Amino acid sequence: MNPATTSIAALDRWQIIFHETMAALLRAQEAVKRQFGFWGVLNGLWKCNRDLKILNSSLKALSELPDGALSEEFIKAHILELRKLLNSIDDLVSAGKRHGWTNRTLTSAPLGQIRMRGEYVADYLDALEMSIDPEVLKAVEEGRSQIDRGECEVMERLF
Amino acid sequence: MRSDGAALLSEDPYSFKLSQQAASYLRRQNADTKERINDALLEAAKDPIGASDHLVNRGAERKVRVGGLRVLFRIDSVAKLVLVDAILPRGDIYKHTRR
Repeated sequence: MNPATTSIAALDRWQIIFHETMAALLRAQEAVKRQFGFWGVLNGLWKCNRDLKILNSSLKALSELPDGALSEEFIKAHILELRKLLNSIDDLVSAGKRHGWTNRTLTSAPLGQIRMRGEYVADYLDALEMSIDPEVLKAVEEGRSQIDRGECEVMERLF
Repeated sequence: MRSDGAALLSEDPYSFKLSQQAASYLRRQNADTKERINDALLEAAKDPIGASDHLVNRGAERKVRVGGLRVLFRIDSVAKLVLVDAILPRGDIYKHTRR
């Protein structure tokens, strides 16, 4: 498969997974907020956790695409989607805490994993925002120039 | 725990080349933070995809997060060098997931 086809496949896959995960998050939130019962909540949380796991692999694949595969417009739209996703994760985790689902072993495990997967999304989002942040790019450019000019320090270890 | 970093170092002979700005930022950190950055970068040098994030459309530039800091670097696997371009404080993204 050539790189362009791979990129398009990765983007299509990301859109599908994103919408499925958002739907799972919203369903889990409803289950938690309306107290659908233990099994309803548990099922919702595990489904959500599973979808977030798949979504995180998809994000990794997107982040490793070659330069130029993602346009700046796509990156900006992607940032908005990820922020929405992070807010939904945050809402779910907060609602879970509020309704006492973190005090039960069976439900606290998926909630903990959802929170951790949210951190991964936050990391990815951070890298994405840094990729277009002029201040970060300026710092990187300056650092690279310093290294090229020999204004640098070589160390065997940093501590 | 210095032993983990030392073990990594002995297995893989990566050295660090820090830009002036990165070196100056690093000097202001405490020993524990420096060691954590050291370990994170060595891990990333061994497994870039698994242990660090790629900056989209920015060539070989990668990022690792260490506590409240973000370290921007490149890996020269031929010269066995980790080129640290910049070290920056963390943004506000994490307010959502860290409470």
